[in-house]
Amino acid sequence: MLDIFIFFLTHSNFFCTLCTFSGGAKLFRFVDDLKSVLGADVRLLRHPKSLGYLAAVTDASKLARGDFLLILNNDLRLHRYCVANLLATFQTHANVGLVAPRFQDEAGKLLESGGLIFNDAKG
Amino acid sequence: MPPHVLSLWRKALRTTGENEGKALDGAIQRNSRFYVRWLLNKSCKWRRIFGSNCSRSSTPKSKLSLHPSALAPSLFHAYDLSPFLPLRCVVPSGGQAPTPYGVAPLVTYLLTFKDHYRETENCLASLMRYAHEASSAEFLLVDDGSTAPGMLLLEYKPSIGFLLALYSCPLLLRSFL
Repeated sequence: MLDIFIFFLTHSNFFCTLCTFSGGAKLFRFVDDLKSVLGADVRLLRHPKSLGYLAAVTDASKLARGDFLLILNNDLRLHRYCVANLLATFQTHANVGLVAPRFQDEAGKLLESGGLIFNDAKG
Repeated sequence: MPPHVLSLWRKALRTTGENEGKALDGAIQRNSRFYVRWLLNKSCKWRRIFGSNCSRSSTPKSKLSLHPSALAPSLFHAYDLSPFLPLRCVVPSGGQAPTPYGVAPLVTYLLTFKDHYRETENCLASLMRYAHEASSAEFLLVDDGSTAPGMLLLEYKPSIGFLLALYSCPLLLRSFL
């Protein structure tokens, strides 16, 4: 359920509604729960001003401690065995440095699969 | 075990030596399993995370064909129904559990977001749900300049009246979120 607070401001000739929703607080509470209940290693970085996707990812990747880095958008959902299959590719192919998953929409239609990275890091 | 007690134990873990830290870490994991089990009976949010993990680990192989996901896999790809499936056991493992003391995690999940809190929460739940597939993991969330709390100003000209405005707001907000 959404946490919505609605305030009504009435004027002489038109009606004005001011709605605030505390979705952010709900997300941050969820992150706290994950940390406190499961003990999962979840860190939250907050930029006061938007840096853009590329700069934000580059900046945050410097703080990553893992052997593998999985970069995600917030509108995707993982399927079962997705991470296991990505990791298995690194184990079975010694000369692989980058693995991309197959992207599908909600109906199962293929959106994107694979890519091509050149020597100068362009793709 | 209550969350505040767990956090106190973790603070103690940071200050103690390596062997004592490992012992404390194990104790925390054992106790958190009981607490998560209690949570699962209470809240649907935790079912979203542990649903598939639990049904897979506790279902005998002979009964796999009877599992709804085996009967209609295409339906499960389109609509994730596992929160509504019965739970059998709860064991947070792999990336769902804390990283062992003094060890770097195997995978870093890097998730950036801006303003789409509900989507981000669902994405994070999805990540946690299958995090057991990696032996250990850390989650790095980057809030790239979100404007929280969200605010929306609607104006109706001419006035539509109190009751109509009251009922129209949740419908409009649902499309925004």
